[in-house]
Amino acid sequence: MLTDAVISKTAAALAITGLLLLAFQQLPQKKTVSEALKTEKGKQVEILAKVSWAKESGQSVFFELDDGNKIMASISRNAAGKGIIKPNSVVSAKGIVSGGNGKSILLAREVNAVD
Amino acid sequence: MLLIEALLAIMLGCFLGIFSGLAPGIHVNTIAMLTGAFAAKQDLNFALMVVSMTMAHSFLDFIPSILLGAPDAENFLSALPGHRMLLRGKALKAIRLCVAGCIFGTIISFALLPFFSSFVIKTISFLHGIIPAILLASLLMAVFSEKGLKKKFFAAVVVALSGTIGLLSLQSFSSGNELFALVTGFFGTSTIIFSLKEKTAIRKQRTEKNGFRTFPILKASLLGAIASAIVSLFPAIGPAQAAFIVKKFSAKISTEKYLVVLGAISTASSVFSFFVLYLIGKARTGTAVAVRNVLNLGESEMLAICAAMLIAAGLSALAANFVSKRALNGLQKIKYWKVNLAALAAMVLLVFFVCGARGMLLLFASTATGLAALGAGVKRTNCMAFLILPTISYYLK
Repeated sequence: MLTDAVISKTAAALAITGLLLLAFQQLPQKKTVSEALKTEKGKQVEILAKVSWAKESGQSVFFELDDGNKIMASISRNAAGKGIIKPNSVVSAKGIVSGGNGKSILLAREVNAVD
Repeated sequence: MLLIEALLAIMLGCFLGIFSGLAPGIHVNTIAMLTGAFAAKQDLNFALMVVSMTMAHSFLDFIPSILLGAPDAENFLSALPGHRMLLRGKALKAIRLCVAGCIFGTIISFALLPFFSSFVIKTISFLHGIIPAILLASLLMAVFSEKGLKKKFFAAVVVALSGTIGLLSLQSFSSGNELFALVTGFFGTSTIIFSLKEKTAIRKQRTEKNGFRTFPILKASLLGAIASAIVSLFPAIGPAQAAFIVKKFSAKISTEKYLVVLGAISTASSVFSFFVLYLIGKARTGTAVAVRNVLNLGESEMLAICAAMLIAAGLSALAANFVSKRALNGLQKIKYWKVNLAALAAMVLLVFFVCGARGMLLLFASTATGLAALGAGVKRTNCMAFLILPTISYYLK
């Protein structure tokens, strides 16, 4: 029997399912660098890429894309201090995409070396 | 932070949808278009707000449509199913049945999505070619479903009048708000004027707790969801045609089951409209247009939209149950015609402010046609010709 209470409980369950789905959607997604370039502003992404050029301080980095193009990333001091931001090293970088399509800049908060 | 922003957008959408659902004459399309002007490109939060608003509206708009504009008890048989329950003192039960339909319509629509997606992808190029024929058939079916030659004739007149108004207004006007004025006239102001003319008084309403048998509710919700899936593939036809399909193909459906079907159709149409946008890039509703204008829908965005639909559905069902009893108590304390008069004034003012003098002209023409349909005792779905004929003409050009 579908009483008012059962319908209310079903509604609450539906809202909770939606909430969990939204939380899942907001988890950082692993993407290739090419995909990251197409990602819109404000999205959190995690990319795997080769460092092609890095400033001495390590805070501005160009990651090389699969197709040969490059994406500029701004690396936080925390990440820069790890000593892994050097040309030809392969890293994973997690952060927020800033800028529009095709001109994306990754504001990387966390960068880790990849074996 | 992003999760909180998304949740705030969903909550705002729910609030706006509850407001637009309860306020007679205010449509989500209007709010979506007005707010869309301020949205940035690729603004997912705006899309989440619009989607939540659409879902919330589809749950709440049963309350004014059942409680307002009921005809006199003498015209009991020509009344809409919700009004029939109101005239029997069972308005609260009618609203609860609709809400149950909305809830299970949402769940069943999501369950049907895998089949729906593969069907759409496989058949869309074929369906595109037969759209004018399907639309024409839907009009003819509406006319020929009327009982008796006299009613068939009046239905054809209503189709011709509505179609002409649609063809003249939707092609020659450019403000983009004419749809709002037309929908308000055909289905809002005409209903209320007809009710005012008859000096309807509603009887004391029963407010005891309800319990419904599970299987009939699920079956009716499934019927509603399937019919919505079918009509969502075509432009210009929507919930009214989905309800018509169910009525045609299920022999002698009771008023109570039909209300569940209407609830399921209302929310399932919203769910499928956003999926059609995602799958084939076609916007079948005003709110889908608003989303398409700001966002390219990818997999991740669609996931967020699904989440927003579920959250909004859950919260709106709870809101509808909370509001309905209070609205009904409030309605019984004041004279019914006064409530209807206030709703009528609100609709006319809104059309004037949103659409200007041209909108008022269209409101007048569409209200007169809606009243003609009500006076002749023919279904007002015939008035949908105002949208169907311009769409057929667009596809034939």
